[in-house]
Amino acid sequence: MKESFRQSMAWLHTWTGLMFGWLLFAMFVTGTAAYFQQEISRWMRPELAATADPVSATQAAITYLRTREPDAESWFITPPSARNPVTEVFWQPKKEEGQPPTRRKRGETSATLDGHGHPVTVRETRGGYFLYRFHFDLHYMPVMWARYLVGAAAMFMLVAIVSGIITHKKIFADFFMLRFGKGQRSWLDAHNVTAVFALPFYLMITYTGLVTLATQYMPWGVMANYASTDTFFEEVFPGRADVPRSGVAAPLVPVSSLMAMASRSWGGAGIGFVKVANPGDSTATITITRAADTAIAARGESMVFAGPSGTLLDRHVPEGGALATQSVMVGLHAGRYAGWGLRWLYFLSGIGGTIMVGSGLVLWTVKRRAKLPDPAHPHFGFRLVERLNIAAIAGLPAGLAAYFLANRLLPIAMDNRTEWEINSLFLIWAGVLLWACVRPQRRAWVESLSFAAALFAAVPIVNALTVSRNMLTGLVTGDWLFVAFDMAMVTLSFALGWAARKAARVELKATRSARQKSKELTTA
Amino acid sequence: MIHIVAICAAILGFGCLCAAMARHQKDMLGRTLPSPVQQRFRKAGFTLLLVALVIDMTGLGTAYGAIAWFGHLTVGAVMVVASLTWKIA
Repeated sequence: MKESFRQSMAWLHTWTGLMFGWLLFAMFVTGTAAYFQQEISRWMRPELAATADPVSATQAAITYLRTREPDAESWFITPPSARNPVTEVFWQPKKEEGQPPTRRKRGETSATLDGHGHPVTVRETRGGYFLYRFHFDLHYMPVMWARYLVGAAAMFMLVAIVSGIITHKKIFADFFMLRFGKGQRSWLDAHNVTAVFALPFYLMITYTGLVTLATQYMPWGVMANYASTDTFFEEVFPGRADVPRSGVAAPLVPVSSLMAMASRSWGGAGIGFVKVANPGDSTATITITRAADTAIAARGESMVFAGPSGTLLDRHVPEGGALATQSVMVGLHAGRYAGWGLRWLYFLSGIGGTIMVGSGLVLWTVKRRAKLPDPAHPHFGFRLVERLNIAAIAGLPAGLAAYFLANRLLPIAMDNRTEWEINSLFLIWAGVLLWACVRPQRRAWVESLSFAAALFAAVPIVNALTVSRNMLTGLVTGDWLFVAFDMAMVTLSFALGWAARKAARVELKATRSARQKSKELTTA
Repeated sequence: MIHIVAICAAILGFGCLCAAMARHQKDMLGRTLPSPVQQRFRKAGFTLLLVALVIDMTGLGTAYGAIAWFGHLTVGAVMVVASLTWKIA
C-alpha cells in the first residue's frame, strides 16, 4: 500500500523528533538561559557590583599588565560594559627559547580587574558562560564530537519543523486552540500552539544555528580552495602577523584617544576588545575591535594603531556578500545586539521552543499508551522513552537549580570549585534519571517535578542566607538584577510546581480507576 | 514604549483574527457572527498586524523593528490564547 505524503511526513516528524528530542530539549534550555548569560554571570559573582567607565578601566588594565607581564607576547583586554561590570584580561606569556609552549592554568594567564586596575577577589565560577558553551559544546566530551552531535540534532530539528508543518496541517486552523484537561488532545494543543506562535523564531534559530558552525559541518568549499582552514580564516579575518620584538623599548601612547577615535568612526559604538601586541616594544601595535552588541552583524570591525605613536596602521571591515550574510545570521542567532526588550522576546521565544520540544516528547508516549497491547506493562522501548522524558524535562531544570545553589553553597576556597559547580548540575541530573528508572512512571513524574520546583524555590532562600544582595535589598537599592533573578527562580518554581500538581491529579485518577477495576474483578 | 504599543496592536490584531473564526466566536463573543462581519474582522486583524510592523519599523529601525515584530506577534498571540483559555475555564 502506498503511503500518502502526509503520512510519510508524520512518520518522519515523529521519529526525527524523538531521536534527538532530549538533546534538543537540553539545547533549548541552555540556549534560552544563554540569552542572559552576562546577567547569570553577574548573579553568580555577587561580589562584583560597581560598574566602571570602559576607557579609564582599559587604561588602568594596561597599567596593571605593564607591571605584571611586561614581556608578554600580547595582552587581551575586554573592557567593562553595561552588562559586565569588570575588566577581563588575559595574556600570551613570552615564549621560552627552544622550549615547546607549555599549557598553563587559566588563573596564571588571566585576571579580573576593577575599574582602577586592581584584581578583584571573586568566587571561582564559569557563570552563565558555561550554559552558553554547553549549548553547543556539551560537557565531559571532546568539543569536536559534541559539535557534530549538536549539528545533527539541529539538522533533525529542521527536518522536524518542516515535516511538522505538513503533519500538523491544522496548526493554522487551530491557531488559538488550547484546551486543558482533555488528555491527549491537550498535549496536542500545547504542542501545536507553542509551535505555531514562534514558528518564524524556530526556523530562524535552527537554520542560523547550523550556519554558526557551517565551516565544521561543510568544510569542502574551504578544503578545495585553501591549503588549510587556518589560511582561510587568516584571509577572511586578517589579524596582523606576529612581528618579532625589535628590542628597542618604547612606551605605549594612552589608549583613551585611540578608543575615542575608533568609537567615533563607528558612529559612537562601544569597544568590545583591545589587543596589545609586543607591549613596551617599538614594534607594539594596539588593535581595537568594535563591540558585538551594536549591530546585528556580529563580525566586529577593527582598527590597528602603532603602539608608540598612535598612528592608524590598518582598518579592517568585513567585505563581501557571503561574509555579510553569515555575520547577520550568526548575529540573529546569538542576539548580542538585542536591547532589553528584544532580549526578553528572544528569551520568551526560547521558552516556547522548550515547551514545544517537551510537549512533543510527552505526546509520543501519550499517543501510544492507549494502543499498547498491555498498557500496565509496556515494552522496553516505551519505558525507555518514558524515563528519558522525565530525566530530560524534570531532570535538567533540577540540575540547573543545583548549579545555582552550588554557586552559593560550595566553600569559596574549595579546590576545583568551578568544576564542582558544573559537576553538581550533572550529579543532580543523573540522580533524577536514576530516580525515574526505579520509581513507578507516574509517581516519578510527580516526584521529579516537585523536586525541581523545590530546588528553584530554594535558590532565593539560600541566596538571601549566603550573600548580602537579594530581592528585598534589590528593591530598596535599585539592584534590579537580583530582583529579576529571584523573580525568575520563583516563577520557574511555580511553573514546575503547577506541572507537578497536574501530574499528581493524573496519577490519582489512574490509581483510582485501577482500584475500581480490581474491585470489579474481585466482585465478579 | 514602542514594544508596548506594538504588542497592544498585535493583541488587537490577533483578537480580531480570532473573532473572525467561527469556532471561537461562541467563546469570545457569546454568539456567532454573519459572514460579512467575519470578513471585516479578518481584514481588521491583518491590518492591525501590519500596523504593528509599521510601528516597529519606524520606532526601532527597519531591520531591528522587523525582528522585534516577530517577537511582538508571539507575545500578542500568547496573550489572546491565554485570555481565551482562561475565559473558557
